[in-house]
Amino acid sequence: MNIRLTALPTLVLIMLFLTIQPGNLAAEEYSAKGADSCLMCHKAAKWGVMPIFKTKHGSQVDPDAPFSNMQCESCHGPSNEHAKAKKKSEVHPSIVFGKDSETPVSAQNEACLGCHENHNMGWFGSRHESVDVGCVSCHSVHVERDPVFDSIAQQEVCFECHQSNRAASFKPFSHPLRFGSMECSSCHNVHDGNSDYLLVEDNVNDTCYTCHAEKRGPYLWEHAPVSESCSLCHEPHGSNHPAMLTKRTPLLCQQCHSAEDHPGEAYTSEDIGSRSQSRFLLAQGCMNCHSQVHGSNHPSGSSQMR
Amino acid sequence: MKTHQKNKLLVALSACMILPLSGTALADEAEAPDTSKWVCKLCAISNGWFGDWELGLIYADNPTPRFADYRGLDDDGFYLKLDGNARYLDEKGYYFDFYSNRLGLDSRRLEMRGGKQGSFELRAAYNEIPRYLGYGTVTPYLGVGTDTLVLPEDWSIAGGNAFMVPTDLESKRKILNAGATVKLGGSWRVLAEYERQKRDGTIRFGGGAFPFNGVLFPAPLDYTTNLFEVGLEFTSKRGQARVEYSGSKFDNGFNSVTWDSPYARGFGDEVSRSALAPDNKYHQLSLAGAYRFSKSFKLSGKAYWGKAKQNEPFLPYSINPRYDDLELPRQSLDGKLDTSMYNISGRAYWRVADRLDLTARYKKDERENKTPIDIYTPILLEVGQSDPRSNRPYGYDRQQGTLELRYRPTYNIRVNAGGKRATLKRTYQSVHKNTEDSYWGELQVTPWAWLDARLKYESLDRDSTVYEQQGNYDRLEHPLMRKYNMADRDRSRVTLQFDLFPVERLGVSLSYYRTDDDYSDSVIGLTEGNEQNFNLDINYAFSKNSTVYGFYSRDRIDSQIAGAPSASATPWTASTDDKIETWGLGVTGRIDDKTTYGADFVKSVANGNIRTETDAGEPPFPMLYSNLEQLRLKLNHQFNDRWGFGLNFLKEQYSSSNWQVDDLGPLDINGVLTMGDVSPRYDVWAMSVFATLNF
Repeated sequence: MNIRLTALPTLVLIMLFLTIQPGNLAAEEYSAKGADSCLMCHKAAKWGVMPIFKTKHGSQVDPDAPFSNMQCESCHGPSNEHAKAKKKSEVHPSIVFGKDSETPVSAQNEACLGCHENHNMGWFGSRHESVDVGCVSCHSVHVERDPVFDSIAQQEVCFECHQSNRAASFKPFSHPLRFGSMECSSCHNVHDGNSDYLLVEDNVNDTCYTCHAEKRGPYLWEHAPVSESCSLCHEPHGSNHPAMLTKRTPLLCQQCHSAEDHPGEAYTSEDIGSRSQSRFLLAQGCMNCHSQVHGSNHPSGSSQMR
Repeated sequence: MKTHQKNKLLVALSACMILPLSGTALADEAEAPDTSKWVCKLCAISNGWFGDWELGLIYADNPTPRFADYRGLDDDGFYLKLDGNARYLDEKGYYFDFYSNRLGLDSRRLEMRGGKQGSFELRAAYNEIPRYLGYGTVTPYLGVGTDTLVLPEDWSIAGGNAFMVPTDLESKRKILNAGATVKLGGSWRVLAEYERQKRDGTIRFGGGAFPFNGVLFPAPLDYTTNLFEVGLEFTSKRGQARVEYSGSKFDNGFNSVTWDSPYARGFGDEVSRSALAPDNKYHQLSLAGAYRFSKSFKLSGKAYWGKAKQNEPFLPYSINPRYDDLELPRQSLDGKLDTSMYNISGRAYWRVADRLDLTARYKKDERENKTPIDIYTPILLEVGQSDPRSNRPYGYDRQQGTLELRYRPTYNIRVNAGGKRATLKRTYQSVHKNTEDSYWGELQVTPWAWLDARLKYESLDRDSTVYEQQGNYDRLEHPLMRKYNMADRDRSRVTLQFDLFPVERLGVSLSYYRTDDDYSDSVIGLTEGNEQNFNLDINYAFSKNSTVYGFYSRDRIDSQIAGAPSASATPWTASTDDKIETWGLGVTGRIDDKTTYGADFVKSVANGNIRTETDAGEPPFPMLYSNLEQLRLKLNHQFNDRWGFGLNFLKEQYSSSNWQVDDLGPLDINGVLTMGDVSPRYDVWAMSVFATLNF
């Protein structure tokens, strides 16, 4: 890609002026009686829609709520043809939600984003949008409480697609997702494509600092990779090594440190019982002494030992 | 960043921020019908209180710290089980929601929100997270939990085991949140959030001791973090904008820990002092916006400016009175410390044609470290004066530009392709600049309704400018060392995913990804890294109300590392190989209208194989091993619409082995006083019996 990065904003502006054009939507007809047309059939328990009246969507006093507007058709679009049809399974509402729906995912999402306008800010062009994730892929709107807002149920929603992360939550060292003390959304903002990896903050470290503010520093003696990215040493979804480190010490450190004497030495299985070398290998390895790996503010802490 | 570059970016961003406020409506609204006859008589509007509660007892049999970690079930015996949700709605739109979990445990969590729908909302939440990090841990130190750890008067290394006392490594994080959203007139709303995190207890800490020793001990924890956020948001169909201030203030109740050296030689090394995490503050102002010019073109962006400050008074160079006269160049890092970050990102989404989308992104993330540079003369291990050295306030400037095309030739086929250039400039490090170019292609096909397949291939090529070593202060790194985060690297990544629905009620999902990293120009350091992951998920609804499900996951992460004790010595090599297999089976369903059940079993086995070899051909290290088996059973029965009962059962077995700690007492590693950890192993069951109330 032989382009200068700073030319991109200019390109954006050119595209902006080239593409302003009016859109259009085919006008369809709303039902004669609104929700009463729909609920004649859909009030039956098997459809599972009635709990919506215990949710914000079901409010008839909030002027922004669907049931204060076009009721069911606020989301499902004008659906008179469906309401009138004798074989209703053959004539669908304008917008049918779900993976198997013939309604394009983008049109399904438009129905939601029409009211939840704040999510427009980061959604378009985001990873989730680009692989056709629908709002209803994660959200359930007809239930009393959307599982995605529940601290334990949320992860199961995410794991439907992010299966490797389910297994990672059972690794010997992991964040406490499976205990319900954290959610995927503690770190990820799934609606916002402006940040790396859809994180809640704009980069990895700022996200980690929301809970681990003590690591922010800045320290007098910084450890160079720490300020660059916590993920250089830690695997936040789970690891086979303490503190979710990507590798076991001392090899973790020896990926970068090779000075003469103890950093460059080979520590092999023969050293487990060695009186001289085991101090660099066993227990916490290098961190038996150099425990201030996130930085030291001690004037004598240049070797991260104080 | 040069001024004219900033200006260009700010022009683009300004478009995002200002255009949303124009408030013009899109021209494609459907005509509203006459709804005067829409009575909604079938709408079952729910007013008043409703919810569900569970009240009962939990019994835990012989829990261990590892089992209790995060759960809070740390002792043998009974606990209160109290979980519940309550909600209130009234005809005027006022509401109150209350959700809670584990109120009777140390891992309790509750959340409430209330307000008037469409007008305002107030929120509050409270959460406790207990940690139990020690397993068989001991220490000879007195004063655990304070910032002064002293050894018993007649301490000696030779007889040290006699002084060891069991010591828990426990901490608890308490998180309190409060927030409000108020809808102002028109399309404006204001948001405010406050969070206070308090974490106290003890944590394992290490320090070097003269002449060449290490000491692990329980250091005190007393962290308080206050987080603030205030924002003003504008939303309309065409545009959205948000301006937000957020702040973070971290306070540590202990700025240092003083500890007796168990290896004191009488050179003034009897007592050592380590600095603990210093207080810090962070302020950030951000602007975000998006504007939809038409159905086919959207622009969004975000910018933030932040300042981090850290001004904790310095400790003296040494607690050793011999160095009392050694003057520091300054009394604290700040006075002048100022770290700034800029982040500017913009994205344009353009529907070029019916089936072709183009997304362009640009992002800049800068850490401009303005920490003053001074000359310090560290005292090594409280007894030796090092050569003078200056601090290195590391900074970076990351930029990335991305172009991505999405093409949908038919309804069943989607093609994504794109490229990205990312640059990373650093200060005071061995590589001034890395440039990484990446390209990817992705094909998603749905040939039949029962099959959805996705294939993605990505190639990344990272190059660096000349490697000019900025090694440790005292010792230069091996001249052929290339630190892996800045070394040249070729990476390829393949992702495959298949979602199948071969018969009704059966869903199968298969996914595989593989990442290969090749650091071919690195002679010393990380030379190769690979990761493979395979997943299989199956669920089958074997009756109208019951589903059986299973999953299998295999993760393999391996790497090659090379090192050398000196520039003239023959390099040694090391390989690491982690394999983690996890599988689970479960069933959930309904026996009749009143009885539901669930059962699941999960097993996760993790192995770690490491081999470091010199010319002598040493054998591998013993295998790192852990095995987790978890069985959960659930049964709920409703006696009537209001009352019911439930039974939950959990059995969890865990075993592990870790050659770094196994069979080693606290004084068994020559030159290191450890806390004597052993590998966790437990077999615990817990059961809860409870009444349920629905209202």
